[in-house]
Amino acid sequence: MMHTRYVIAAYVIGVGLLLGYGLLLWLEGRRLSRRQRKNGGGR
Amino acid sequence: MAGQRNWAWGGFIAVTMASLAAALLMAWQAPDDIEQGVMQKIFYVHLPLAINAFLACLTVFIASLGYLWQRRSWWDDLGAAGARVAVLLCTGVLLTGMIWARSAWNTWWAWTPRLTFSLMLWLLYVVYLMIRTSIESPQRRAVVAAVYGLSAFLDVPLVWLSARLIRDPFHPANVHLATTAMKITLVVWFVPVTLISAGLVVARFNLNRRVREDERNTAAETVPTGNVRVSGGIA
Repeated sequence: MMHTRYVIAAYVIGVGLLLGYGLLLWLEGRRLSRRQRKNGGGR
Repeated sequence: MAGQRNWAWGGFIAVTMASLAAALLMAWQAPDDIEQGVMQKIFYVHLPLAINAFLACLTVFIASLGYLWQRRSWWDDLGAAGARVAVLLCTGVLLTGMIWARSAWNTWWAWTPRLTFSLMLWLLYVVYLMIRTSIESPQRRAVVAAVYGLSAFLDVPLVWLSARLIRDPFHPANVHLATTAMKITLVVWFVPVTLISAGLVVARFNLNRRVREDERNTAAETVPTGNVRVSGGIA
């Protein structure tokens, strides 16, 4: 049981890091789009 | 724009399906290892993370070479994107490796050659990112980062070869997968991890380009005529 917890923790960290960074990039992209719209320029 | 959105949706569906398949295979299909038991299953995420970390480092290396050759900001943005993803993947490799070590060898960390070189790799790319934020001039930053990016890559073969050339009491050079189900599970795990890693590099690169363009537009609007200000670029 203890070992299963370690395995789950490893997968949560491994996959979570990737997905978490993806989410961060998505939010950053949205923030940039909003700023560009506000300034009246951009794409 | 619509094409880009279709690509994003296609990628999302592919990643979700591959992740589900990989998770199901890992949980129910792949048997426990005879020696290490259930702990060995960490290997299915650990190795794809490590190989993709090497690929991200290779991206930085190629981008650095490209920048020094052509001096285009495109390469610099690619290098910056690759380095961020390399740090992220190296962090994943180190953490999953530490959890595996804790349960398999009863220690979180041992200063063995492969572990030491892996930590060095992580540090080298963290320093790469620090160098980028510490240099104000975009051109100078790009050149210094490119030269550093080339030399940092030298650690990748050291990580790869260390467990093979130097005797390592903990980290094995190769992990033997006894059954076909184990081998299939490992191959399937490469799909989502590689897709997500590549997607992250592309997404970060696109964002870097947009930020650079945005800064260029802002500079063009604010700087009075007669003064030429160069584009900011990505730290």
